[in-house]
Amino acid sequence: MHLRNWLMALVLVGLTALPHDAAAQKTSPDEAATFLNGLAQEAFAVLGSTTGNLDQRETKVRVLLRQYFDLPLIGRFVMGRAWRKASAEQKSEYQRIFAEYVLRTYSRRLGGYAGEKFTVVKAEPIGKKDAIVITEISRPSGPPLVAGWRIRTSDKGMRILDVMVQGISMAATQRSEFAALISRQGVDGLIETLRMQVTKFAARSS
Amino acid sequence: MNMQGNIRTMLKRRLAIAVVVAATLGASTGIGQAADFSAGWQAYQRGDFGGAMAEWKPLAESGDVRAQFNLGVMYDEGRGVAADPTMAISWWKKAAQQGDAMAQHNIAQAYITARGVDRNYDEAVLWLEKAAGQKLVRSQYTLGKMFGYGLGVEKDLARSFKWILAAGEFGFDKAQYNLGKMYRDGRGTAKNLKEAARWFMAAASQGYAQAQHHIGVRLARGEGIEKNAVEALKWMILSDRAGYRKAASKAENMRASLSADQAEEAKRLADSWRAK
Repeated sequence: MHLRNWLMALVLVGLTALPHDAAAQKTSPDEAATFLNGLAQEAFAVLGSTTGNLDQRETKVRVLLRQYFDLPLIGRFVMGRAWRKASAEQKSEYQRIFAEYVLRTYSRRLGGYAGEKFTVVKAEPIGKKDAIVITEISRPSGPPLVAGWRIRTSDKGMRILDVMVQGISMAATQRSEFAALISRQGVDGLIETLRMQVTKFAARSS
Repeated sequence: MNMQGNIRTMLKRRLAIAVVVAATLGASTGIGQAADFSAGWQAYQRGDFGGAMAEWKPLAESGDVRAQFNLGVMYDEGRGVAADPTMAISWWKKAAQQGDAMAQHNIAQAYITARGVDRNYDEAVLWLEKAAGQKLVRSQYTLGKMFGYGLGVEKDLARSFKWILAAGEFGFDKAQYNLGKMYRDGRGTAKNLKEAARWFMAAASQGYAQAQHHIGVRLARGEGIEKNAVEALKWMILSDRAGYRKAASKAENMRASLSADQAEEAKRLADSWRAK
């Protein structure tokens, strides 16, 4: 998708109903861009280093990102109405696995691998209090990767709430996918499906 | 021909045979290919996914199972290429048809999670059975879950238990935790609180947070295991540290019923604990 079309799509999804947070403050787009850029540079430093193997470096990046994603909020939103009826044990296990799933899915969108170049294209306000930062990663092979990062300022500082790819909110997409899964298999079925996603076998050396 | 001439001829023949044998062995064991695969792996580790793809693609096309599997992963995860789950399945199927258990497992997961293919539990079970038959523990565990939920197969708790037991016996922590619950509730097997505690302990010892909570509860009650309040608090502390939400309040309650020395001992045990 062309960047301009992509930005227009963003305006439409800007209305995506992420949970309202009364404690949130208005987020400055410039500060959000600086925040995301800093985070990307940290990810680049880890992934670009020669310490450990790729899996170990990616694990470090996930530890870093965990601090900057509002995972409990995203997890609750994505589970939808089922959240209220889920048991404490289901909520705890779901949040644990969902966090792993999200971090694995999104960490690659920040880049940092050999030959990749990260650029902040634009930052704008979105919704009542959030900012959206559009980034582009150019890669030596494959098309550039464009993503939109929805950022909110809470009492703990800036946190990422959502990642948009080709103008589509990942949180909204997952919410609808999860609703279908829950209606068929219940919350336990959703948890198992997520667990399967994170236990797929990765590339191997022999 | 004199004796020296005979020996020379015989040596030449042996040398020729040795060269032919070496060349044949080299081709069949893929010595040349291994070097390329290894170069691809090194590129992959550097984050040079384009380089890895360039090394592995010709190998995959010529039938190398490892390269086919890894290309599937690269397409699935979008490494060095735009993510293309359909292409991932296509490469994994090539490897799976050659009997690669990990590829069979990943295909099954794709059918379960509808990634790159339409959701199809029947297909998922077929692939899982192949991989589980090769003793791949993740597949054994997943197959157990499929029987437990009745997905792609008729719900059968006894078979669910059988597969999860197989994975648990191989040391898979999630399977061990599930075995604890199955013995606790008498699901798929006869209720047996001693066995429940034994499996919760096995998973807890590997660092599985929920199992650490569950064994803590059992130690506090003396359920299926000898009562031990200090050990109970130790496991609850560990579960809390590993991120299991319910553990914090339980640990607090346990601490309140112990002396300061006992609570301190539990903390010391938790501090010195290492996952097995």
